[in-house]
Amino acid sequence: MTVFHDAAEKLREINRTYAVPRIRMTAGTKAVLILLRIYLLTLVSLLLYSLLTRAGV
Amino acid sequence: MGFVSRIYFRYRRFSKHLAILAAVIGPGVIVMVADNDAGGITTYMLSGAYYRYSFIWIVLLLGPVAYVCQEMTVRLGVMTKRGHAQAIFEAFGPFWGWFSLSDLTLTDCLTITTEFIGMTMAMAVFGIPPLFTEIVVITFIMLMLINGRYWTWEKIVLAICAVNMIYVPVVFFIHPNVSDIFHTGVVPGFPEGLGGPVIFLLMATIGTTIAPWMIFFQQSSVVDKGLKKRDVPYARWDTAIGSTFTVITAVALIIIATLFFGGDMSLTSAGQAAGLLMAIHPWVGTILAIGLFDAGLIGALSVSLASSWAVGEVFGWSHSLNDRLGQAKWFNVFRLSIMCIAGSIVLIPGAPLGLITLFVQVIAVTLLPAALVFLIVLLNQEELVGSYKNTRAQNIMAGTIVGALLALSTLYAVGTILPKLFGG
Repeated sequence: MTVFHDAAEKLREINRTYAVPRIRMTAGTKAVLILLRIYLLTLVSLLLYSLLTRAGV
Repeated sequence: MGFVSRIYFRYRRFSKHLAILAAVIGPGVIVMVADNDAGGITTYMLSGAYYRYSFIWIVLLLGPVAYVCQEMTVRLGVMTKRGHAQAIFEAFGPFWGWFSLSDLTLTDCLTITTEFIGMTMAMAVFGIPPLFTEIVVITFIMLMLINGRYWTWEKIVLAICAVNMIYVPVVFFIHPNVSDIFHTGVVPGFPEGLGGPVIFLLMATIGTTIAPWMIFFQQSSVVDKGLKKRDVPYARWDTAIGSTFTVITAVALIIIATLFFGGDMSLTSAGQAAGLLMAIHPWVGTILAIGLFDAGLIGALSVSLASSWAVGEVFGWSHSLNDRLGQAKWFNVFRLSIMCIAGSIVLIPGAPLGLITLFVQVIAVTLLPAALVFLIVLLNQEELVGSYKNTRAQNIMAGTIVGALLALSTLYAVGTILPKLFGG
């Protein structure tokens, strides 16, 4: 249990360390990141759909 | 006298530059040669077998494209002293950081599986059982780190990289028709138009030339090697030399495949090609098998390092090749684990290896646009990279490449996931 507890604490520590993005978030950068999220969501959804279809679900 | 001293001075200056280049050379050559991994060898063999010389101009075009992408990692690594994973965490926060890290690890594990598939197939040509091949390879990869020196590791890998050029002399012995190569290979065009299997092979060729792990690998490698600002021009040469080697090897493979299998649409892998050639031209078959094994070995070496460096950076583990095995305990345990997992998958009877090979490309293309976009954004932060910030011309060039790659990789991913869209 300690191992899992330590691992979870490590992950939380990493999240805390990098919580604040350290680059200038210009409007262009923000727009690019939003577009990237949409792109990735679409691809991952398609991938899941394909896997489920192949599995015959 | 003045003329002689000028010549001598130039010679001394050139020798000095050459000596520095010899010291800096490594990350660029390794990453570019590793680009011609087991999957890459199969892709080039199939393009030659299916469409003869038609893909040569694409490979010639992809060399500079790979250079543009990889050169950016050199500047970013030198200026930030951070690997790409850590740079993403710091710059974009945990969401994008975890996304990149998990996608990279998953893709790398699957890519290493394809490297083991290639290596075991190559050694099977000589009657060596897969389990034996895997044990020897994993032991060798781990033993390379035993004395804890980056330089030793790099020199061994460079020697392995040299073997990757084994295909080039073969071309001179089999006498291809040079005029044919120029007329059907160097002039841009597609044999059957841009549709169906051509587009899939085109995207596989792009996918094997520019891969996400390469960005992570070269940046971490530059940091681990300790390259400084003054080394950047030499590191650029290193990358350029590497991309030239990659292109030469890829063209040689396409020529070999065209001459021995041109028009054979039943070929499915480089391992199969090596096996078939053993019966007709044993020495070509032997060279093909040795080259395939070597490609898989460089691939496994580099890809396993890319994710181990990335995970080590983020988790704060000791993750330098300058550390002895025991010092960088978790880094090495992680590296050993992903290689063992990948190796085990290959040994599972009836494992869907074809599906794995297919999906590794799809998962890789989901990370590729993200990795490239992050790279461009980071290289536009003056406070991060100072005078090595992207110039307008570099941004236009990189932006065009990313745009084209985004369009093609999306098409590839969607086409693989939903093949009916392309009449598959």
